Amino acid sequence: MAQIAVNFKLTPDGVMEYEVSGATGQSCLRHLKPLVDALGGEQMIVAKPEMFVDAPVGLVHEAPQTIQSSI
Amino acid sequence: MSHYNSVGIEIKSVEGILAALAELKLKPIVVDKPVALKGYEGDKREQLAHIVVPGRTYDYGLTSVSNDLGFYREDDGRYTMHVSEYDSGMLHRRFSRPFGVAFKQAYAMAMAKQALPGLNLTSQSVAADGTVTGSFTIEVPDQVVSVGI
Repeated sequence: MAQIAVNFKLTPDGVMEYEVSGATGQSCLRHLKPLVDALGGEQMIVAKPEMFVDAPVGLVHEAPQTIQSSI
Repeated sequence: MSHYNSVGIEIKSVEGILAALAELKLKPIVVDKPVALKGYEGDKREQLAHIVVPGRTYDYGLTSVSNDLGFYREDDGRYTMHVSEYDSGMLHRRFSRPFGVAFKQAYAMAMAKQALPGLNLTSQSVAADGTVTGSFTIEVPDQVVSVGI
């Protein structure tokens, strides 16, 4: 098992953002997708798309390097 | 007697509300038929709730004069939260931000923990504007991924 460290920010509106820049693998988003799905709402995502070629369609965008979900 | 304020919340699942309350270390009681909330003297109020956090279970580290906090399930499945003005202030002090803010954030964190069972919260702090920042780790199988700001 490997470990992913994620920095997050929870805004006063209940929006959770994850900062995942600097990823060296392709699986980061795939592992975080259950979290995005659970929180629902608008999802504005991550980092450099070429790092996440296996990520679900529509989950990856250009910068800003955050994943955002709202309740 | 402290006046109650009521606010609608978007969360429709009782499990979601219970998870958020657990994240805040509040201890609710769930009932099938709504019951009247009680003030700190045991007096019944007009506000009804299906989920009740008894005032006596609060842990402010101060005196025990809190009123019940409650969630009433509306006909459309949404919930209305009832909280007294006194406890709004006390909860604000306890969580370093308005309770409504802390509740939303607790729900998001609870959902995060449910979605990622191996989530391990490693740091968390609350800024003056109510924003919570921190970090967590998750376990992933057989892959090494380095992630950070």
